[in-house]
Order: sequence, then structure tokens, then C-alpha cells
Amino acid sequence: MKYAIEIENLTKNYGKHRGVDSIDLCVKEGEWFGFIGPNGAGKSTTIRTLLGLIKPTKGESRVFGLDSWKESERIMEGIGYLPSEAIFYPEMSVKETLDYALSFFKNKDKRRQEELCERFQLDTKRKVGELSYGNRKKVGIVSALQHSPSLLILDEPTGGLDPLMQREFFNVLEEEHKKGKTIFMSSHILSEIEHHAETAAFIRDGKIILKKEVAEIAKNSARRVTLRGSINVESLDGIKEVVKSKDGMSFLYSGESKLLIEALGRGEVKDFTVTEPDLEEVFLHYYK
Amino acid sequence: MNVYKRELKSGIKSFLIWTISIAAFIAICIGMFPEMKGKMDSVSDIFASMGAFSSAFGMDRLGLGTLLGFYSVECGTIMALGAALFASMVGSVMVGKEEKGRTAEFLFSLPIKREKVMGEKYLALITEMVVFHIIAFVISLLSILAIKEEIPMKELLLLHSSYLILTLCLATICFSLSTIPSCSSVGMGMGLVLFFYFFNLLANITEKIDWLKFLTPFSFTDGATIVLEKKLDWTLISVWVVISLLCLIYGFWNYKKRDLKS
Repeated sequence: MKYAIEIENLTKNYGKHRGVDSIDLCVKEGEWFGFIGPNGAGKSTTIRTLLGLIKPTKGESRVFGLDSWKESERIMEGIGYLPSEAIFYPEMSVKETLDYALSFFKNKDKRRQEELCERFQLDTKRKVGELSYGNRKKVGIVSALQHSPSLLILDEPTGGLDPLMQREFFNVLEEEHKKGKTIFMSSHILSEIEHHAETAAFIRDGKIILKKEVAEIAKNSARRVTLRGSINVESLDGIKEVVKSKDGMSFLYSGESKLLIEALGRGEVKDFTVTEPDLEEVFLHYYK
Repeated sequence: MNVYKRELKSGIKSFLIWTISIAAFIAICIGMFPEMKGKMDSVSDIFASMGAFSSAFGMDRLGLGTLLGFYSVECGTIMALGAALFASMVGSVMVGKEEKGRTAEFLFSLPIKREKVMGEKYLALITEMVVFHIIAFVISLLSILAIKEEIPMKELLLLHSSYLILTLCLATICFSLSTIPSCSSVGMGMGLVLFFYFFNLLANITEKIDWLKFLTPFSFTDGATIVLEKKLDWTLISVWVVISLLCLIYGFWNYKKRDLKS
């Protein structure tokens, strides 16, 4: 089996501060991989090591079988990278920025650039310094995709994008994935990973705490149920973290939806919501 | 040469401002010479007898009443100090601005080696400095022609060569130091140049401690020595070229091995 990304015992310390600690991770070629973790967990440190921007304290990381630190130039030829905060030279126009980025690659075909600018409704004449956060993100997306890389590394890719653009962005990613491209996507939004990735890893405090197929995570992950009124929770399996308030209750539920709906029907419920739990709750779900 | 071209393009505004300003100062300065020539004979005697002050600027050995004396003291100060400040200003931010402006993540996620980025940036810096000096030299010659004086070509070439070498040395040192994130600032570069400049004035005053002149690159641009001896001090120049090259090697090595800030 061929791997696009291989990380072995990777440790990165910034002086006394912890970056990541003894990480092991492999991403297969053609796989859509989700990398989930709260802010400061070590997601960006892992990505910056993969790109050869920082040197590992210990261990190693390889992309396409090449050492990230020693052969970053060769690796970059096949990577499209979208940073969480896309920052470019403010005095350049969007077109100049994209052309400048493309000029470094062997594939200098501009047709893909034009097509992507149209799909993301980018005004290429505007100066990058005048753009909003969301529009800069779109420039970053086009810059990452325009040279048709075989591996996409996306760090918090949807920040700043409106829902329509987010949908278009995932449409483009789905097309790339169908072409056999590998996608490594970091996010703290669980649903983004759940809906698109095949495999996911959770990182917390610099350590990988879970790596599983997304279907399995989704099957096991709980939902936060909040209701006004009351139901008999003892009749339900898969209930955790029950918190009762003056006029209602809240709990984590990982059982079958049908049983929950029946329990809600039997109880005295005025109103209820079922939401995706935040990451801390997912972690708790897995570690309690 | 993508980075090289981009650096030249992004630096064009400040290059034009500095080049036009320094060239205009030199032209004005030379333009004032015919007016001051007659008066300067008596003033030169006063300057020559002012002890430490005139020693600091080389006026104890060169008469301000001659074109070369006037040029090396007045225009020489403008050229050496102006060019050195320009070199430090450009050199001290050329590398560090990528991290300070947070564009390093964009640039280094493209397929280019760090050494190549450094090399092209350094080449852009050297190009700016050389073109700056060529323009300043041509303006000097035209200004001298305009005031109908004979051009002392050999001495002018020697003087301007020393200013060019000084500029290249200081640009290299500032460029190399700017690979250390905490040293990458215009203030740091300009501070270093002013320190060297004032140190040179002190070294000129205290002739008994001869080795002091090895501690500042301004010492090999001393107009009085160049004009009177009609040659450059290659010992001093060699010392500073070696120091600059060592700094450059350190700069490349440091930038290649260290983590880049996001």
C-alpha cells in the first residue's frame, strides 16, 4: 500500500512549550483524511512539519516517501496547501498573486486558474490588501488547487467562507477526490469531517488520541439533546452527562434515533433540540 | 528568478526616492561649488586649524577651495552616509519581512528552496545598490560638467568605488543579520550604520590608535587619503569584504536550518 503521508514518532517542542508529542500517522494515497482537534492542539504544528517549514525535534515525517525537512522543494511540487489564514503580498492584485504562485510550478497551465476563479466568483483585478478574510480565503483555495496537485493539505479551510462558497468548495474537493487526489484536511468542525472524510484522527494536547474510520466515529458519536420539560431517561441506553435544570434537562445520547423519539413522545416535552456535541464532548464520549 | 523580479518590483518606490534624493543632493552640492570656490580659500584655513573637528572630516588635509577637496568632504559625506543608510534600510528587512508580514507560509509552500529565495533576494539587493551608485556617479559627472570644471576621473572613480564597496559590505551585513528574527528591523540596520559612521569620526580624531579604523567600514572611504594617495586601502577593504562574506555565509546557514514563523 502506498502512503501519501507518513509520520513516525514526531515530536516538536518550541523551547519549553509543547507542539506535538510522539505522533504516528499514515494517510493512504487517494484517501480523504480528517484531522480534528481544538485550537492549540497541534494541528498546525503537524502540518507545518509536513511542509518543511519547521524542523522536528524528534521523529520524522515523509510526503510521497520524501523527507519533509530535507526535500521540501520536491514535495511542494505535488502539494496544494491552504493555510488557516491565507496571507499574501497586499500590494499585488489577485491575478498577480495567482500567477506568481503558479510561476514556481512545472504545470503553468492557467486554464484551471481561470475556471476556479469563475467558480469562486473572484474579482482578479482587486488588490489582495483590499480583500475581506473570506475573499482572501478564496484566493488561497485557487492558489492551492490551480496547479492540480496530487495532495491537498487544508488547514481549517472553510473559515470565512459563506455557506454557498463552502458548498462550492466541497464540490470542488469531491471532484478532486474522485480523480484520485489525496486530501488531508484539518478542522475543529466535526460535521465537515463526518460528511466528507473517510478516516479521521483526533489530536489533543499534542497527542493523537484516536484514529478511526469516519463511519465508525459517526456511529459511536453522541448527540447533545436539550429539552424543556422532562422524560424518563432511565428507559434509554447510551445516555451520558445528564444535566437537569429548572425547566428542562440536557444529556448526551449515542443510541438509536427511533428510541429517542419514542421516549420524547412519552415524556412531557414542550420543546427540544438535538445538536452535534462540541469536540470536548466527543472526547469525553470516547474517554469515559 | 521569480523572487528576484518580485523584490525589484516591490522595492522600486523606495529605490527611486532614495536615488533621486541623493542624486539631487549631490547635484545641488556641486552646483554650489563655483559660488563658494573663492570664499572657501579663507574658510579652508579656518577649518584646517579647528583641530579634532577638521580631522574627523579630513579637512585638515584637503582644501575645500579645490573641487576634489570640496567633493570628497561635502558630496562624499552625502554619498557614503546616504548610500549606507539606504543599504541598511533595504537589506535589514528583505528577508525578515516575509515572516513579519506573515507571507512566509505562502512563499515557502511553493516549490522553492530556502537558499534560492535567499540567493535571489540578495541578488536583488546587490542590483539595487549597484544601479543606485551608477546613477549617482553619472549625476556627479554631469553636475561637474554643468559647472564647467574639469573632471578628475581617476579620483572620482576611486572615491565612488569606495562608496560602492562600503554600501555592498553594509548591505550584506544587514541582510545576513536580518535572518535572525529579532534583528530584522530598519531601526537595527540604521543604528548599526550610524554607529559605524560616528565610530569612524572618532577613529579619524585619534590617530595614535591606528587599529581603530579596522573597526568601521567607513574608514576605507576616507576622502583625504584616497585623493592624496590616489589609491584605495585594500587592506581595510579586504578585512571588511571578508567580514561581510562570513556574515553572508552565516545568514544562509541560519535561514536554512531554523524554523520559519507563521
